[in-house]
Amino acid sequence: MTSATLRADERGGLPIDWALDRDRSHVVVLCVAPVANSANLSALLARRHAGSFTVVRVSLAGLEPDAALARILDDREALGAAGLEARLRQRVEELSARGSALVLALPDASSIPAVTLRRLGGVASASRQGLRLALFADCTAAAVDTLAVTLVRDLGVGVEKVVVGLRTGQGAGPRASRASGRALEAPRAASKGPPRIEPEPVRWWARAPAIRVRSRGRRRRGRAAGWAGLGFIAALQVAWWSPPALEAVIKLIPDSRVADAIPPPAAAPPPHVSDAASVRVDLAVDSSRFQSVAMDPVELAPTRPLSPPPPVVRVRMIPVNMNADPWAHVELDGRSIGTTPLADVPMEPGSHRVVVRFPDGLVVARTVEVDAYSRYFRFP
Amino acid sequence: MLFLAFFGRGATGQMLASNSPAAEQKSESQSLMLSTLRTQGAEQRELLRNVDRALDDIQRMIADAYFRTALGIADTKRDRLNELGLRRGLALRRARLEVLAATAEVALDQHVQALESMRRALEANPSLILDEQRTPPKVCALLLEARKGHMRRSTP
Repeated sequence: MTSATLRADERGGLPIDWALDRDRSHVVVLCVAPVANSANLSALLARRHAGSFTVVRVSLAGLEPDAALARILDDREALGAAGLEARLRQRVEELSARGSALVLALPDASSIPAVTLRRLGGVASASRQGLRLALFADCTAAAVDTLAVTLVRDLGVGVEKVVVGLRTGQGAGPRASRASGRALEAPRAASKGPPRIEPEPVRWWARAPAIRVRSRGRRRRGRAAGWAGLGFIAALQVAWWSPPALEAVIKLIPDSRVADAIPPPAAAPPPHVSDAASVRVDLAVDSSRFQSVAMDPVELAPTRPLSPPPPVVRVRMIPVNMNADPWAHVELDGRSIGTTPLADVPMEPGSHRVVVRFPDGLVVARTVEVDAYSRYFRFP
Repeated sequence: MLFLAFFGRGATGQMLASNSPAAEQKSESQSLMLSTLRTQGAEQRELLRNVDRALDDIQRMIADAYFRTALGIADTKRDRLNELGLRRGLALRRARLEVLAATAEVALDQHVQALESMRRALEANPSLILDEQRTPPKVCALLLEARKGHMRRSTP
């Protein structure tokens, strides 16, 4: 179906040749540094989600922002800093116009300088979903599945539109077989470079369940199931509300004996199950006198008002790691959180006051900025 | 006279020895053995240097709070050290590796794994001592706990 031509880079990376097929959509996952994790991610994506992504591996370890941008763009014309960024934006816009996207997958971005990450993050936020940064704490299968599902869902790219497996070797990437439409050709023989991990021919019906993209029919079925569930819950509610319903029936049909049997509304205790039983017993005597009346649900509301659910405010917490040499007690925003080493301390993004007390009496106070890119702190 | 006799005998003996074919063979084998030992020594030194470098890297990662990465590398290096077997100088390094792994595991709140790592460290170096001024109290407590278990196991 679609092909992405990749060009070998003598520096070890495989930058994107941006001449992707014009009439198709792509999701290009660019795995950047460190090498072991990106290889792991590439292999997982190829094994579990072959046919969904074009994966390119580029090492950005230790690169300053300009060098990193140049590496991504495969730029050899030595453009200035502004030129590089503008070029990347332009490339991303071109991809977006074609219904495609570029994702920088960063499995453990620890080896990439923070300034580089910030710069890439700035470009990503300015690109309106055309460029995405996907960060991983660990490059596990579950994380990769989540990434794949999120990308396919959020970017709105149908799996059948998107391209092709994994390229790790040198030379131009193979073209997917147009005859079968869904199978990948074997890659051309690679003379050098790391060992290839070849994706198997893709069978859509045999895709791993985690990446399965729901079709419209399935979506409809899911919605139908949801409505059925809601109906069931409503039926349960009606059954549970039967005492006030019967009370309302009695009010609507005046009958002296029944009216005498029922206490006035002011004296009536709030309805509950035992009341319901007693009312039913009374009505069983003269049940032939009653006729069914359609109930208006508005009448039931005052007897037991339903309080609206409290608003849920979701703040994405960032797991932060801290260490000190020598060890130290750590206070976060005036609250002691224990002694170092500390891992996965949940912190809200933003600035926090950290006070570190060393055993020799030294106290270090620092304001730290926590975000997805800076979550490892060392003291002093 | 004595001087002459000593050196004369030595020189004569050497001369005599070099003349006989058996002695030649012996000296060749000796030199071969010496060169082999020298090569082995160099290899050993290089090996230990590499192990030390890897351990320093792991320690740096832990100091920078990259606990998971450090633990992943420590697992790899542990396998490599196990492949190398019982060589001279490796036991102490194995103990250091296990202490580093235990530190990362303590940080990640993996108490059982940390205790196991510390137990391995004690197996590699039964007289393991940690610097209490620099080592986190959690790790020191872990060593005490592991030592108790180690002693319980070793006492019949």
